Amino acid sequence: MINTQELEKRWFKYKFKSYLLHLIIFVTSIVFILLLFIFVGTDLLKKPTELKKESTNIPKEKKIEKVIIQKTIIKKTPDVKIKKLVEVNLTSIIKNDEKQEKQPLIVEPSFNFISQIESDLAKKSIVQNRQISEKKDIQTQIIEVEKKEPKKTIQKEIQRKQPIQTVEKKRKPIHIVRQNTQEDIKAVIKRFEKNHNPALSLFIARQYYEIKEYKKAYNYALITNGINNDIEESWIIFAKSLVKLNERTIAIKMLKKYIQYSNSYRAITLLGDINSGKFR
Amino acid sequence: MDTELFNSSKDVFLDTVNAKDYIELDRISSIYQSLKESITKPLKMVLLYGKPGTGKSMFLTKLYDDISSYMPTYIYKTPIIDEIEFFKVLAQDMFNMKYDDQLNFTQFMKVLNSSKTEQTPIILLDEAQLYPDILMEKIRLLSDTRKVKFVITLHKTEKEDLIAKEHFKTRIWESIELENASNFELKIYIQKKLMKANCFDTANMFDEKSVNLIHKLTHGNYRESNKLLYTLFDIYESYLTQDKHYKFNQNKVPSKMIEMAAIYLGLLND
Amino acid sequence: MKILLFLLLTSYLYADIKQNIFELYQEKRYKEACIKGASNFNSFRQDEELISLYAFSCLKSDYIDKLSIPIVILKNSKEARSNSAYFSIILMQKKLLYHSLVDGYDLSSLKLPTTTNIFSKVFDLYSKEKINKEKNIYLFEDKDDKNRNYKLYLIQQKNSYKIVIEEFYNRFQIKKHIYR
Repeated sequence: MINTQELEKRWFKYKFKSYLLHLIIFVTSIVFILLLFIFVGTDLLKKPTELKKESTNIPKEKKIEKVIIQKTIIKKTPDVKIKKLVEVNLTSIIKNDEKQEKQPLIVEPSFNFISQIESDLAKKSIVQNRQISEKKDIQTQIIEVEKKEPKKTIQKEIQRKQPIQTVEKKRKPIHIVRQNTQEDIKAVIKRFEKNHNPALSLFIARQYYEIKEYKKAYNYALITNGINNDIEESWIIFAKSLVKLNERTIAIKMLKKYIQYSNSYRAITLLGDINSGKFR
Repeated sequence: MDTELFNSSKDVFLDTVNAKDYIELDRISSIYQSLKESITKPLKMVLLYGKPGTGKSMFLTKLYDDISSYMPTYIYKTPIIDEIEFFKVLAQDMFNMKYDDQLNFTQFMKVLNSSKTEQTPIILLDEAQLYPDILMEKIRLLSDTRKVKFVITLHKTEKEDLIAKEHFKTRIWESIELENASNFELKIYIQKKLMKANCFDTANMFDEKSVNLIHKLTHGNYRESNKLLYTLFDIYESYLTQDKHYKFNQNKVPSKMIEMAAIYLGLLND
Repeated sequence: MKILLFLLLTSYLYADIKQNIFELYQEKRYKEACIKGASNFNSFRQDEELISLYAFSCLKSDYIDKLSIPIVILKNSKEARSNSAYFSIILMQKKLLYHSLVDGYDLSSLKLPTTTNIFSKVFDLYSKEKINKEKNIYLFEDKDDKNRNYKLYLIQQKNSYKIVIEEFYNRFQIKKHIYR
């Protein structure tokens, strides 16, 4: 019969030893690898610097040789031209070496032009809208004038018929009423609400200013500035509306700020006009 | 499972050389078959060599068991180192001649030459490395007469290699090397041995992992494996006798048990 | 009046093209912006910003050959000159790479300027390798980003070849460029 308890104890001892042995082997191998890594790593680091030094040494030696040879030539034949040649050679050698040491040129793209395009497009849309609105104005004027003309001719005829008794009636001044303006503005507002184009809000501000809705003009000028604060006309309408709403000091303040960073001629003249009282 | 099962399993691995306990393994059985055939050929000597515990004695015993029924075969498991005694025993066994006096080599040779037998007798000598060199030379001479055949087993040591090469070079018809078992062979050996003794439950406990561990510890040596397995089952038996309700895995022999047996035998150092 | 209307019309059209190309660029419809720009460049030759815009659209849609006209036109401002150099390097690299892939021309000895564009990156990786005529597909690892890999090969379309670069991130293909 075998003493199993004692045998088990012996087994535990054996197992512990084997684990310990494995652990020792593991630790020593890691230490060995680390040491190897350190040594090899330092060697590798040293080598490229050494190589570099070697490589730089060689051309320098060549340089020195060249210089010595050329100097000896100079000594033999003291000529200014040779001296210049030497200088040129040295400088060219240095330049060449510099070029060799430089890394390849990396060219990167530049996208600043896109912001320029954006502002160009914004300006053009303003101009276009102005032109369109002017066209419309012209058209409406033409229509109005045409409508008035037959009346005039009738009036004239009546006057002719009554030459003695009639007193020259004063011609009524041609009063062009833009009956379509409000509807125009509303249509543009609808369009603006869809696409938030600053050109449209500027147009709206201008229209409101012209029909003396100064508060609305001020609002839309403010909106335009909020979208794009580089539009000069928007600032002008903004300041003018404020003056008309009796907010002169605020107008001057805002205008001064705008002038500070834009140096706009129109803004400067407007400021002058407001200060002098020319514009009220 | 109970202690009886372990007891019978343990007995399976007793280190005895019994022809009935011979386990057939494919590679070895082919060797055996070729040996059996070559006996019938007009050969002088067969050398069976290998490390201790590789089954040489078992081989010889099995051969004796198989061929003794139809061929005059004489087996000497323990060597007779004394020369005169050796020839006396041989003469007695082969020719039924009793000699009270000494019988030396020349006399035996005469007897041998004068004998008339239908079949050449075969003499199986185990542990032939223990025979003195002079006797080995005389055995060689006896085989030269072609009136007797020898099958000898040797431990493979340097000395025996010399004998194998120098003395018997021309005379050896066949030299067979027996080797340790491979992992696969060892597994079959263990399982077949247990199944032959109807220990099916314990036979199933040996999987590849446990056999690999046993192989690692014994190098596939049959004798060492027998000893280890004997000790293993002894440990199981001891556990059960000390604690009747001792629980163990019925499907697998854990490495712990095998290692404990190895520590007990000194195969592992604790 | 008619002249005015005509001028208005042309300026309107030009503004329309510029607006159109700009909108296409902003919507990342680079291929369309490139094609529109390439077919109408004569009408806005003077506008270097628009030329640059359509050139970048062509680059982003892998139409490198279409950069040839912007390269020549862009010269009046510092930015235009810089972008012209940028495009010309990429175009040169494309031509050299094509020559090397088709004819086995060795680029390893050349020291060329490069750009930050992905085509330049792959070109630089390729030019460092020695020519192997049997190789049809090149695989490169990005040294700056271990998760990125690039695949370079030629495909045959009609009578000519096209350079293809595939970008991989963590072994998933994220982009395929077929350069024209």
